[in-house]
Amino acid sequence: MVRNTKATRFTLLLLALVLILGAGTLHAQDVVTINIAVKSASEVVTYRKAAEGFMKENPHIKVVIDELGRDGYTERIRTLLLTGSSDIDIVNFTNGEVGAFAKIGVIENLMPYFDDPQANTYGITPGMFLDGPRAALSIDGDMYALPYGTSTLLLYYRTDLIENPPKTWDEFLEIAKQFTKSHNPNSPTEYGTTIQGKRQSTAMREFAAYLWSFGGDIFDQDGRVVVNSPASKEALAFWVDLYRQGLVPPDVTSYEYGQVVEAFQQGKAAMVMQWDAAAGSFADPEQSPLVYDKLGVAMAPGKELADGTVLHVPYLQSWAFAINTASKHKKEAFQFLSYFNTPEKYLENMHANDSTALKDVLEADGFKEGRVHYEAYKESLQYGRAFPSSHHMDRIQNILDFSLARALSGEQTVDAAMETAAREIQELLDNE
Amino acid sequence: MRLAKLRSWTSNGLIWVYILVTLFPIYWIVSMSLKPEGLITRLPPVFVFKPNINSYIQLLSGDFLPILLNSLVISFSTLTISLIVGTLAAYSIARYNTGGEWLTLVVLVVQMVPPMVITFPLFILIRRLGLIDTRLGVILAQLTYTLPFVIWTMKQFFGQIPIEIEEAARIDGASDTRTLFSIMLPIAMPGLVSASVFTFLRSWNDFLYPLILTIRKAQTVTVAASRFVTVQDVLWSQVGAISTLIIVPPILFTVLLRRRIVEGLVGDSVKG
Amino acid sequence: MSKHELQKGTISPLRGRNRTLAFQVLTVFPAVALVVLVIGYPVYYLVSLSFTNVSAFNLLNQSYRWIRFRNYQKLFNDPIFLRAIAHTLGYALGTVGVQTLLGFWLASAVYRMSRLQKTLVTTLLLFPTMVADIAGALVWRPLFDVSTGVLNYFIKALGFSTVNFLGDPILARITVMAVAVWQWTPYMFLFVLAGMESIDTSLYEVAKLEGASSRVVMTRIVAPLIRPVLLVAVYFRITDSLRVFDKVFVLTGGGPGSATETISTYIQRTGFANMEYGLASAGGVVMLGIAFLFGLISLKLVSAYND
Repeated sequence: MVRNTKATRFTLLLLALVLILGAGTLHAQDVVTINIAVKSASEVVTYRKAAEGFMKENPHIKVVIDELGRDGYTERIRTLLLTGSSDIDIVNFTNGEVGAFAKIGVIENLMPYFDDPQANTYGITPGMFLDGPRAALSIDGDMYALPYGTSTLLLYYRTDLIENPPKTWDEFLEIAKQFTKSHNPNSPTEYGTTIQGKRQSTAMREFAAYLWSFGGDIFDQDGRVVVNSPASKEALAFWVDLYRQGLVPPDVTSYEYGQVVEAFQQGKAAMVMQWDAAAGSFADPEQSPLVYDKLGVAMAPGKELADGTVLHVPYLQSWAFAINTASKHKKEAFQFLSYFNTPEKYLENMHANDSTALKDVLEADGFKEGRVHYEAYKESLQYGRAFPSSHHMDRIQNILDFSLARALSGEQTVDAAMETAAREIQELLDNE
Repeated sequence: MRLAKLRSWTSNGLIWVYILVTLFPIYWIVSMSLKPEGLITRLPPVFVFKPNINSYIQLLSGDFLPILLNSLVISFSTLTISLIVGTLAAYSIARYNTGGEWLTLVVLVVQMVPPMVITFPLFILIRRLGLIDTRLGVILAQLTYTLPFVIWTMKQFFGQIPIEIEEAARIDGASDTRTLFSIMLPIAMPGLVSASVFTFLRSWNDFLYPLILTIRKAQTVTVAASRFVTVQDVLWSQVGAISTLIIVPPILFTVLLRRRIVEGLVGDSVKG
Repeated sequence: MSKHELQKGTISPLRGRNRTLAFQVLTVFPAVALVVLVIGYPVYYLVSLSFTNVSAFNLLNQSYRWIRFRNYQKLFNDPIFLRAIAHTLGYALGTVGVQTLLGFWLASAVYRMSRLQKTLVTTLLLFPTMVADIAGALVWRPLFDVSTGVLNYFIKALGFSTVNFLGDPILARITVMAVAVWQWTPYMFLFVLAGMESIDTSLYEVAKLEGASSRVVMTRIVAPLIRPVLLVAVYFRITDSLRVFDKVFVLTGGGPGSATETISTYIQRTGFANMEYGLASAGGVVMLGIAFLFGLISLKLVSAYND
């Protein structure tokens, strides 16, 4: 009997202790951790700074930026999202993929979060974003991701060699010939320009400006596939011709960002189409000692129309931040996003190479400062277009990318390449 | 005599030429890590420059050390487990033909599976075991290709040893395990060393499995290295630095083991 | 009893069948269990996926269907896939062939060196294999550039015209193979060397006395004797090469066009990039099938020799 009483008393004491301690911890505010998976890029510096700034103002939320390398990034993100992993709360990808993720149902529709004061603690609205990026990340009007920055391909040229940057593709062609040694032995540069021809990289994005300004497209207004329209084929023929005529280095089929930057920095090409983010490197005396003081930037050339006007349609793209449907801290995640996209905070946290998707930031002095490409960039945003947000988009990109590669290398004629692409895109749509 | 000497000189000379040529990219990687960014891609290539170790400082003061630790732990564990489990199995198969053709086939097939296509199901399996983003998860995955390799390699080396040696040991009363450790292993040392070097290497340089199975805690150096290649920038000097740091442990490992193999030879065992 | 009279065989169990059986099971079981468990499920999954139309779009809502051999039909009806298989086989056999030849040459020269030189040279020779695929391809890429690469810089300086390492369809294939040879020859070298050192030195002495040239020594004596070991090395190199991805992806992306398309870049492009997991799995099964064939061949060769 005695033993039982002692045991009982002991157990009761223990229980009480546990309850007190448990209750104690229950009362303390739990620290919520949000994990953000981002692809390695120069913007990561900005994300980290923003994370720190946010944590200062919101001490009960911990923001961890998981920087995942570029190689296999897409695979990792998809695996994490598709297996319903709650290890990542916010994912980062380019706008072309948002349609697919939304359709599959692994990213959240953000509209309710805008209206929820517990999530939208910094009071952002969809209207704060530039129309292009906003539309690119919206499906039937609902935003499924918030755009970070708007990237575009600009025309960088040597001011000591080219007085007036080409406004039309024809002018572009002429200047390219003028500065290619094989066409003009007196040319100070080896090649007039470059192409980013590597497969599964930038080719399709670079080609988009050509495609659209020539009047071609992937779909027409009625949703019919028109990559094999005469205008689309003409655009491809023009692009491929730059390679055929030797106006670009012979190994552009393996060219992506790094190679183009080097070609320009080393004075091998007189003008190049490259992302706006390269402006910083090009203007930096340490990184580009040969050309930093001879840098000119313009909007991508356009097609001269019958009435004499020039149609420019630069390609636009945004990084997107979306919330994982399997996340356990969605409201907190949106809190961070609302902080990040507040114009004042954005300006505070961004760094010199960043672009923007916020209207107010685009006009702000803080943004104009030090951006040698500002005018060209702003113009590009005005006339530019992004890929539609359909869930077919990234598969269509793959199809076109391969056709472009085959046309460029001469494995297929321009005609055959576009016909193949059209057929495959149609098959894709039919299989739905 | 003179002709032989000349032949040996030319042969040695050619070997050194081969070495210089094949070491050039490695020299390039190391020099990249020490050059300031602007000089790296300059042509004509700059061979004489003032080395700076900024990239290394940046790397080491970042989160590189824990990542390096991960790689070391994973690779050594994989190596140790593979050697122990694999050599035992190899001995058994070599001497007793355990499992017959069927087992050898299974071991073969398993090793052939292309990692790339099983990333998804492997992720799910490791997740079910609760081992995502852990070192053990990566080790388990790596064992699937290191074990078959060790088993097969050691099986061949054991198979080459004449039975008489073992029979002699048995007559002297040695047990299976005793025979294995005191007699067979020393003789098969060259094979063991080769197997070790390449097992460690495969595990150390593995990119795909750590990529898929880790997120932040158990990252390895190869996965971390891919962070420096971005669409916007290839930070060459950091790529160089991390690549150099990645090369160092395998090289150390090889250097240490190389002496063992030569010792194994000279101090030897079975002659005539 | 000299080593070169190799005898393989099984020992008669000395201390009773049970004891030996226990030993056998204990030693083999962990290996098999580990390997089968971790690979078994994924392979089963892989094969079953290959008969479905699973993609990211029908995975979660479970609306995927069993489509039997349609994936395989799609693959084999695509000339690019067939070309990829041809490229991959050519790549595997070509690179391993050259690696083996070079390995023999290197081992034969190094074998005769003094201990100190041998140690030094072997260590240096092994360096290329130390470099991870990622780092290697990444570093090689800019070296091959036509306008800004170091290699072409020297080629031009010597008065030749530039070599389009990565942009010419045929050269691109050779370039990728060259990088593989650079990287893995040390592997074959080490195996041949290890094999050579397992052979009784008296054989070499006899050969020397009879005035045999090193080529004869290598082909008539060494090669046959180290055949089992060599076959293992070759087998692993070939199956590894069949899977080549990183090198190709970083250097050429599979291009120009489809000139350097391998089975894995094909699967990446048509399967993974499109989130078509059924199709990707079918491609994987084909890859596994080809590797399996090579495995069977190697196995037959080894056991034929041992009998």
